[in-house]
Amino acid sequence: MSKQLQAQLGNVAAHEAVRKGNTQSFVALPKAERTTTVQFPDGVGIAEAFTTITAAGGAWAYHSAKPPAWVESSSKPLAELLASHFHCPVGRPTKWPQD
Amino acid sequence: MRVATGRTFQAKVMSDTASNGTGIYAPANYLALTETATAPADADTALTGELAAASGGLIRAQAAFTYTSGANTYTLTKTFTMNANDGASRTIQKLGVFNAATAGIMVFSSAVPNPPAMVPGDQLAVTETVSLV
Repeated sequence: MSKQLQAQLGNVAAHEAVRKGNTQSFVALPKAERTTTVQFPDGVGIAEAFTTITAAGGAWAYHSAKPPAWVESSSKPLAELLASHFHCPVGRPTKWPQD
Repeated sequence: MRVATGRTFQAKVMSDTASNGTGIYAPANYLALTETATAPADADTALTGELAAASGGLIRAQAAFTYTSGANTYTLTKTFTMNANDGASRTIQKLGVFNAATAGIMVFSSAVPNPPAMVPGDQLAVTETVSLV
């Protein structure tokens, strides 16, 4: 297995999708400092990873109602791209709860 | 009771692309598409009419796995880009989640709300939510 891209995002407004028939809604999780982890398959590049996370119907929109508090990634360029897009810092705060 | 770390464990075993499970224990994170509109049924073992054109952009593909600590769901996300090998037009009605690039076990199947009609060059971003409840 080659090295896979991974990204972690600090999530302060976690929600999750609930679907009934053709109708989808989002339910907020109890307020907490959470970590959302995105694990990509082998061969996925930075551009695809960035789109997968940030697209309107992408991974982040399905996991949070607000921009992340911080981002980290196994790829420094991906982390910097995400930080620029979301206007947040790179790096998990030391007091952020572990997963 | 199943605790929060148990849900994390369950999600990762089921679909994390970093899992080293193999064979029938391989994680289910491959998304497949079909134009067949038949409602998903408990007895389904395959995705009837699965799109599988050689070098097509709508063929089965491995998705990104996303999980939020303490959540009751996780997601699988993949953007498909249709190309000429897929045909002139396709309307995506249903998807399947498999644990292999070919064949394998179909673990989930879902109807696609408001089935999108696609032509070559179109992109379809699919996010499948799996509930752990």
